[in-house]
Amino acid sequence: MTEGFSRIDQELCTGCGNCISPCPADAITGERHKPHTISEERCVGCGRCVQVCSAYDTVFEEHATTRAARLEQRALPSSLAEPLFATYDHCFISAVNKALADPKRFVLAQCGPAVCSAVAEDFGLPAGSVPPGRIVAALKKIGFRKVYDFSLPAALAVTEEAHELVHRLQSGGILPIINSSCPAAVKFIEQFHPELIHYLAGCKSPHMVAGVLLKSFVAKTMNLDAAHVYSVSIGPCTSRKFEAGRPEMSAGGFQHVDAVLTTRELAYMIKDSGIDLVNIAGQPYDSELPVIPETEDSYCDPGGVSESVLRASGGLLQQSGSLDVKFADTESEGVRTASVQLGEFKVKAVAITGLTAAVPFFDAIKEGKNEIAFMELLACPMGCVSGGGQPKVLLPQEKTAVYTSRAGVHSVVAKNREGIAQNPAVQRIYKECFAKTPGDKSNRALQTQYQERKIGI
Amino acid sequence: MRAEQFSPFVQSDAEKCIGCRTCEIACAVAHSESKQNTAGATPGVFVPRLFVMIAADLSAPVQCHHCVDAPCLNVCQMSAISRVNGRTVVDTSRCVGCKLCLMACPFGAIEFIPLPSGTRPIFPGETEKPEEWRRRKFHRASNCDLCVHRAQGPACVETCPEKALELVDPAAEKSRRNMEAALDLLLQVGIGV
Repeated sequence: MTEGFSRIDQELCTGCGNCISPCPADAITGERHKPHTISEERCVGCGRCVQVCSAYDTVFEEHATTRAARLEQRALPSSLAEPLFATYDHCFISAVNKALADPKRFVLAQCGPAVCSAVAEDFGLPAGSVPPGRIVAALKKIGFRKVYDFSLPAALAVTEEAHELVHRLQSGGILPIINSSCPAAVKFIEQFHPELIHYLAGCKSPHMVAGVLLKSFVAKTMNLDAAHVYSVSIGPCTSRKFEAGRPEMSAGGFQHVDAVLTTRELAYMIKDSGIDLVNIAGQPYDSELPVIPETEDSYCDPGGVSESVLRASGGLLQQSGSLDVKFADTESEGVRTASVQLGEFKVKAVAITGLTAAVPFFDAIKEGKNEIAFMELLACPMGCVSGGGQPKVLLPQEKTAVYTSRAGVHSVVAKNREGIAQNPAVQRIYKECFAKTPGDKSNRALQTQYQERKIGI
Repeated sequence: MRAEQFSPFVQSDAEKCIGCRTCEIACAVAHSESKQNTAGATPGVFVPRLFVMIAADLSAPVQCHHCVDAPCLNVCQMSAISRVNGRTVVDTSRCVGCKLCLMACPFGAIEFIPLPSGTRPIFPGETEKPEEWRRRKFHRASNCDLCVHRAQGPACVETCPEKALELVDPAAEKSRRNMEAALDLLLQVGIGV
């Protein structure tokens, strides 16, 4: 699949260059006042350029391409009423609609917490004001047969990483373990720091794990063949679009995730279907993948993943009491560190937002000077709530406030994250679905492999 | 009155402007009836009152200079344009869209806004039946209003990431230059200051 990269519309781009410095992959080139281009092979799909682009299809100028043709080019619904910006990512809505119209396909979706808090903004409402239940109801009305919450797949991913961290600590394995849930970070390392591939955690990202479950565990409970399930991942993230097409993210010839929709695209679909999101009655998430409170918002805010993995590791080491994982700012922007005692190990963790901020740490690893045991690396400036697929904030001076209000929607209630790996629903999945013990590297359902990606230039 | 003569206006610096159009977006959002933080909340098209011109090697937004003896005001047959508190203002309820003001403005700062019919925005190139066209409130003159409704002043000035826009106070600017010139002259003549 070559759809996972961002693109620049040559008619709309004014050559302002605002997209160049946020790009972590140095993928964008162009002269001032002339249309810029994105290198497909360098792009990691993070969508920073999509979020920052302010050149749009002004109605006060003539464009060679009509509005209708442009919408079609971008695979956007013809009912779309908002302005179109120069930089955009490819949209899978028409593929999803095709699957929804196919009587032989059962379209199942899983939806992350960062979506539910932010989608309200694209309806002119404050973040968090549309409860997830109404989003579930809207999706069901559109034709999705089942809609699942993200927390059980997230718990599986956390469990795998916790086992891997403990194993590496106890057996003198290579450190740091680099969290693998950000597809842009994974591609960034594969492309630009391939020597560090083996530091990456082996487990698939949470939404990918969800796709695995939809096509195996859930399909079985619905008496369906994996061939008849079409799995859709709804999230704040654009880099998932490349990840979903990776050959290794498949089983039995079927991709775990058939289509990725972003929060913005979810809003387009709801508007296209004419559903009144304010007044529709909410419905619960489907129960085949039960909600796990301990990981309900682990993957939203920076530091959340680290906290979950570290505390779950503490739980595996049968430490008493709950770990206090506190990240503190450092002099470097986007870099926060924390120190915790995990059993006999004094462990340093770093939570980084912005891929280029990780480079000094990568250099330290390569020079043998690493001090970190766990690295959380997220491409987006305030973690997933500020993802490339989230509602696009129009004015630069409002971005921080909007991202902060999205982050504020997620619960800060203390959770028993030490118990993640022991959660009965989690244990049941390992037993019934995989017949493997948690952390088993031979579990091809949950574990993946990475590859060096050589860049032409 | 000095304030009336030397009324402020927003000026752009083509050397700083990168052509990003954020000023257009800020202007459109500031004049939008609905509250919108995000692209998805935009009720249709952006309708700004300043327009970024992109040429081969430069860009700059162009907007109304709030001329004291405004050509647009002088030419308007419907008396829709007037001077109010140092601003040249269009009363859209009197405008019939004859476009004489557009022809008269030396800056091309007057634009004609496609006003939405109901909630459906209007895009150029769309064919429409004559009866639909007659029902629309279409094509009314609009110009920069210096964001008189905003406590923080012009939205474009506030938002420009390159600080290329400035709300110019001509009286203060003139005084500043007078002072600089006088000091310069004194230095040349050799009188120590």
